[in-house]
Amino acid sequence: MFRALVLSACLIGIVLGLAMTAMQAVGVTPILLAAEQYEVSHGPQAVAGAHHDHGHAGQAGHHHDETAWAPADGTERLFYTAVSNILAGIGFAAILLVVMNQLHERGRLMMTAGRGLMMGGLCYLVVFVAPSLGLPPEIPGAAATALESRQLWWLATVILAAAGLGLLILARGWQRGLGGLLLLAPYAWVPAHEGPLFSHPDPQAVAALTELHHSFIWASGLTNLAFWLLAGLLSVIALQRLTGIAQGHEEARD
Amino acid sequence: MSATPVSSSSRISRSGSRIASAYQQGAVVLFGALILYAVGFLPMNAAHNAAHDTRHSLVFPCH
Repeated sequence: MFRALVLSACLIGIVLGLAMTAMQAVGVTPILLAAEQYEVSHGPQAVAGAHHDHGHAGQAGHHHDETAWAPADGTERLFYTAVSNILAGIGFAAILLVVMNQLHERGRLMMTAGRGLMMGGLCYLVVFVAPSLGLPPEIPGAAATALESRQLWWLATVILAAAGLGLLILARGWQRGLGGLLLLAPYAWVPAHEGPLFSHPDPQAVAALTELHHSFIWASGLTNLAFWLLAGLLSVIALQRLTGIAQGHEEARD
Repeated sequence: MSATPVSSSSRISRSGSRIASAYQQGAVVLFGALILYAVGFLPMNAAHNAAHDTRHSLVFPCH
């Protein structure tokens, strides 16, 4: 079972990662690159002293350690993004496959394409919508609170949303109320940034970044929706094969 | 009544295989979680830079 599930997750991850890379190249990456333009040129100081080394460790908000390795823009960056997308796809698919398999074993999930899309949609709500309600999708250059607290909040929110949504759908009676509570709990405290989102000194740049930010929310929202619907569908297909439903059908037809 | 009689030994082996399967599926979840940690959360600079666009697209907290 371990081998079969991991192998399926890898295959699904490759398809998901490549699809994600294609969608990103169209909708998401251009926005990230445009936002990074404002990030690198750090406003008037950088324009005035163009030959100045960017040693701005004290800059508020976002800053990259420029001595660290980073893939070069272009093909190399695309390659590493594709690899990371595939790995993320494998990771998500592995967990989704086990959850769906468990639900199927307990008779709570039929392995049909429609149910696969539904599971994908629920994953979209849990992994994208739930954390985005507190911490909206971010573009480079946006100010934010300490990374660790946001990562912890993200993780807690996704786990609570999964548990809460699961209880709401599967449980009965008072346990449903508990599910609703779990869903809402993370928003009691959100590590959101206080004050303006973009601290760029040029108001024109701030306007441009704000617009980029809005289109990024749309782009990432749609990309993630497609990613998860595809993940749910592919997981159903994989589990049909693993549990022999598809083979049974084929034999019955023959 | 309509249930087919199941010998106790096969019942034991079935519950044993169910536990083994539960362990294996737990291991699959762990495998997925470790990969996601590496892609989405690893604080190393090189890991962040390589997975930068993925982290932003999947709205993992970044920077």
